[in-house]
Amino acid sequence: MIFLQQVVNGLMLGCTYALVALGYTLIFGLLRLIHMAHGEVLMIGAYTALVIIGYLHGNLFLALVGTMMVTAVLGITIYLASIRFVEKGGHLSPLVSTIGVAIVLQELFTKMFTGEKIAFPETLAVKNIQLGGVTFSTVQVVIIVIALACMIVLYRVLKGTMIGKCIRAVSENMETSRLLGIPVFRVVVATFGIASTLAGIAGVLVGIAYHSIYPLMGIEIGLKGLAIIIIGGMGNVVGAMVSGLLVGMMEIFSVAYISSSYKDAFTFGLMVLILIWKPEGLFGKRADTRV
Amino acid sequence: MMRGRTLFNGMVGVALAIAVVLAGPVAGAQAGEIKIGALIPLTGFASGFGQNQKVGLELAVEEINAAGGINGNTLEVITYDTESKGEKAIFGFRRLATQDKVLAVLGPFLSTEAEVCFPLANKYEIISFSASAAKPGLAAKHRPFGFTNSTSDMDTLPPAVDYWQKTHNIKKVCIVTDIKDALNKSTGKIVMPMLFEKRGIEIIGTSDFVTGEMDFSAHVSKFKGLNPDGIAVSCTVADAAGFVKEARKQGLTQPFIGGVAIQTPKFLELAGKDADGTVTAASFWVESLDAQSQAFVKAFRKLYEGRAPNPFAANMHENVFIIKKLIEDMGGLSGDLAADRKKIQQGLAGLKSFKGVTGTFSMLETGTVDKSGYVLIAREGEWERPE
Amino acid sequence: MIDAYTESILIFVGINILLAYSFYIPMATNQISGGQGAFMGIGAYVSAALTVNFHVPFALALAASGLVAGAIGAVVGFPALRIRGLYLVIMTLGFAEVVRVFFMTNEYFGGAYGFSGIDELTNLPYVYGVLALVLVLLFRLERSHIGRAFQAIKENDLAGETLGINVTRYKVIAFALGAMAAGLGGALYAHYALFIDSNNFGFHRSIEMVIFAVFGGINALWGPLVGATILTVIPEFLRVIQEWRMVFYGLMMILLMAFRPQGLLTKHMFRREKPQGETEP
Repeated sequence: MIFLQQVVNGLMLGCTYALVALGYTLIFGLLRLIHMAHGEVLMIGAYTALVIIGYLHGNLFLALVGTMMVTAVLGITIYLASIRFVEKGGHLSPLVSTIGVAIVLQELFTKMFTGEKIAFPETLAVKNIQLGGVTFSTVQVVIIVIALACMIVLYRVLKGTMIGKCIRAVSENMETSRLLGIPVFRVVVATFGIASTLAGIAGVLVGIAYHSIYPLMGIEIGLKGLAIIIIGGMGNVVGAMVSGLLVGMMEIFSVAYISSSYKDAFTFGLMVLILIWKPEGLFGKRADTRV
Repeated sequence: MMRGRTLFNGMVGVALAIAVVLAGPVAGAQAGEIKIGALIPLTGFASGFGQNQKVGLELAVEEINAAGGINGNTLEVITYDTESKGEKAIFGFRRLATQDKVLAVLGPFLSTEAEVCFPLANKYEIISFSASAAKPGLAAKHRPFGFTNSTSDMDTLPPAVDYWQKTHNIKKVCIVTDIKDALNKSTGKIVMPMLFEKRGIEIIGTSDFVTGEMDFSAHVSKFKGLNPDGIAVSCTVADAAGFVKEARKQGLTQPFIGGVAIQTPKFLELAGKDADGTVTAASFWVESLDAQSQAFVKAFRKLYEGRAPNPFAANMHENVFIIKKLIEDMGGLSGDLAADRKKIQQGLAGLKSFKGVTGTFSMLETGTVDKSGYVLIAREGEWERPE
Repeated sequence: MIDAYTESILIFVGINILLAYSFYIPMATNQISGGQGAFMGIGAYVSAALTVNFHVPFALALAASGLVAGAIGAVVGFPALRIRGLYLVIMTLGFAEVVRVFFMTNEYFGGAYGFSGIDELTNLPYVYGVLALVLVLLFRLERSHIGRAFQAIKENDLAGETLGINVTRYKVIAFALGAMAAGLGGALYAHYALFIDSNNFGFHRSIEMVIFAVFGGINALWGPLVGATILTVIPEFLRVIQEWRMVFYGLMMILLMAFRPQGLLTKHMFRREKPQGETEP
C-alpha cells in the first residue's frame, strides 16, 4: 500500500524530470551542445508563476500560459545573446558561456527575491482522492496530467508537423538541411522556444508540488536533467521521457528504502555506468556517440 | 627564447598582482572609535535569519551611539557576510581578528560556522560571541574564547515535549532529521530521542536527509505507513515547512513538534495553516509583555518595514549591549589590543544578571547563558503561548 | 612581515593556480574534465585524515594525497578514453557527484557534517614550494617528448596514433597529473580552511577551476597561472561591489567566449611568426 504510494510519488517527481530532460535533449540533438542554463529557465518559470499567482492574482491556467510565454522568450534571448556566438566553437566555449548565463540569472534573481526559499502561493484546493489505499492528492494528479499532456503533444509535433520534421532533419544533419532549403536559423530559434517552454512548465509544476522556490533551484535539477539524457540517450526524445520517469522512481525508492543521502549517487552512478558500457544511452543508437 | 619571454611576462604579472595586494586598502582606525566585528549570513540559505539579525545589530549600534556611544566613543561594527558557509566564516574571522583588529567578534550565526570559528577565537585570543549557534556543548568545547548567547534544544524543549505529550497523548513518534546541519543533527539524533525515551515515548521510525531536500513525498509516505501519534521535525525552517506541507497533503493529521530551528515567524509564513498546532519552544517571544522587549520590537519593526524580529536578532541586540557594558566596566580601553581582548573575555565569562530584551540572564562557565524557554504553539500563522 | 589577511590572499592565489593547472593538463590532450573538484576533495580528505587521525607530518600527507588523487585519476582516466568530448565532460561531472555523495555519507570522513579539527599547517612556504615544483615539472614536460606528444594529441587524436604515439598512455598520464595537481591543492586548502565539507568540492568548485584556466588561456602554459592570480585577487578589490561580483563573473564568461575564447594569454602572443594550428577551446 505504501509501496504504491511511493510509486505515485516517483511518477510525480519523474514527470518533472522528464520535462526538463526533454528540453536538454532537443537542444543537444540540434546543436550538439549542453545548455547549462536550462535549469535557470525552469527557475525563472517558477518565479514567473509565483508573480502571476501571488501578485497579479491569476489562476493556475493564466500562470501556465504566462510562464510559457515568458520562458519561450527567455530561451530564445539566451540563444541570441550568447549561444549563437559559440555554437561553432569547440566543446568548451558553449559550456563556459552557458554556465556564465546560468550564473548571471541566478544572481539576478537572488538580488530580486533573496536567496532563501519563498513560499509558492496556494493554487489548487488540496483534496485527497482515495483509490484502493493509495492517496492521490489533486496536486499530484494535476502535475502528472499536465506533464503527460506536454509529452504527448511534443511527440506528435515532432512526428507529425512540418516544424517537427524540420527539427528532426536539422538534428540529423545541419548542413544537408540547409542545402535542402530548410531555414535552419528559424528552426533553432523555434527549438529553443519549445525547450524553454517545457522547462518553464516544469518550473510551475515544481512550485505547485513543493510549495517553495529559490533562485538556486535550477542547479540541482539541471544536473539531474543532464544525467537523465545520458541515461536515455542524448538527442533521443522517447529516451528522455522514459529515463526521466525512471530516475524519478529510482530516487523516491532510494529515499524510501535506503537513505536520502544516497539518491544522487544512484542517479549519477547509473549515468557513469551507462557512459562506460552503453554510451549511446538506453534508447540511443551506436552512431549517436560520434561527437 | 620566446618561451623565456612568456615566462618573464608571466612573472611580471604575478609580481604586479602581489604588489597591488600588499599596497591594498588597510582598514584605518579613527581616534575615539571602538571597533567590533560581526559575522552574519547575509546570503545563502540562512540569509533570511541573517538579514533579520543584522537589523537587530544595527538597531543596537544606533541606540548606543545616539546615547553618546561607549564612554563617549563611537561604536563601529564591521560586518562580513559568511554566505551561510563555514569556509567564508573562517576568512571573515581571520580578517576581523588580524587585519581589521577588532576587539571582539559577534557571531557567527550557524552552529556549523561556530564549530570552525571558535578554534580561531582561541588561537587569536579574541572572543567569538554567537547570538544563535545552539548546538549543545559548542561553547563548552571551545573555552575560553567561545561563547554563545542562545538556548539549545536541550534547555528549552523539555517543557515543550511535556506539553505536547500530554495534550495529544503521544506514545509513538517518528523523527525526521536534517543530518547536515549541526544543530538539527544534534536535536534530531540526540536531544529529541533522549527526551522522548525519558518520557516513555517510543520512536517507531526515522528518516534523514540533507539540507535543501526538495521532495519530501517519500519521507512522508514512509511515516504514513508507520502511523505514529506525533511527528518530530528537526530541520531548518524551509525544509521543515516543506515537510509539514507535504505531510498534510498526504493526509497525515498528526501534530508536529520542532526545535529551536523553527521558532521563527518565517516557518509559519512558509508552512501556513498546515503548521497549526505545531509545538516548539523559544527564548524570545515577539508578543512578550516585558517593557524592554516591547520597546525593542517596536523599534525593530520601524527599522525593518514592519517585520518582526526573530529570536536571533534579539540575542544579537543583547550581545552588542553586553559588549558596551563590559567595556564600560573595564574602565575603557587601554590601547593594548591583546590585553583589551582578554579583559573582554574575562568580563564576559563573569557576566551576571544582565537584563536584555529577552529577559535577565547570566553567563555560565560552560560559555553559554542560563536562559530557559517558553512553550509556543502555532495558531493561525502566529506563535502563541498555550494557556 | 605581511599581515594574516594578505597572507591568506597569497595562499589562495597559490592554491588556485594549482587548481587551474589541474584543468589545464588534461585539456592539453583534449580532455575536458568537469569534475576536477572531486580530485581536490580526495586530496583534501585524505590529507586531513592522515594528519588528524594518524598524526602524519604535513609534508608526507601532502605527498600522499597528491599521489592518491593522481592514482585515482589514472584509474578514472582509462574508461575516460572511450568517451569523447561532451560525453567526457558529463561523465566527469557525474563522477564528481558520486565522489561528493561518498564523502557526504561516509562517517569516517565526517559525513554530512564535514571534517573539522584540522590544524593550520599550510603556509606560504608550503604553498609556493609545491607550486614551484609543479611548475618546474610542467615546464620541463612541455619541452620533453611527453609535451610534444600532448601537443600532437591535442591537434588530432587519430593523426597522433598513426604517427605511432601511444595516445592511451599520454592521455592517462595527463589525466593523472591533473588529478594530482587538484589533490595537492585540496590538501593545502584543507589545512588552511581547517574545515572541509563535501559541498566544497562539488560542481561549483569544478566550474571555478575551469574558469580560472579558460580565462587565463588554455593554450598557453602560463595561462592558468595568470588567470587564477587575477581572478583570485580582483574580488578583494571589488569588495565595494562585492555584491555584484558573481554577475560580473558570469557576464565576463559570456563575453569572453563570444569574443576571445582562447583566453587572455595565447601560445603565440609574443611570437613574430604566424601561429600554426592552434586549437580553439
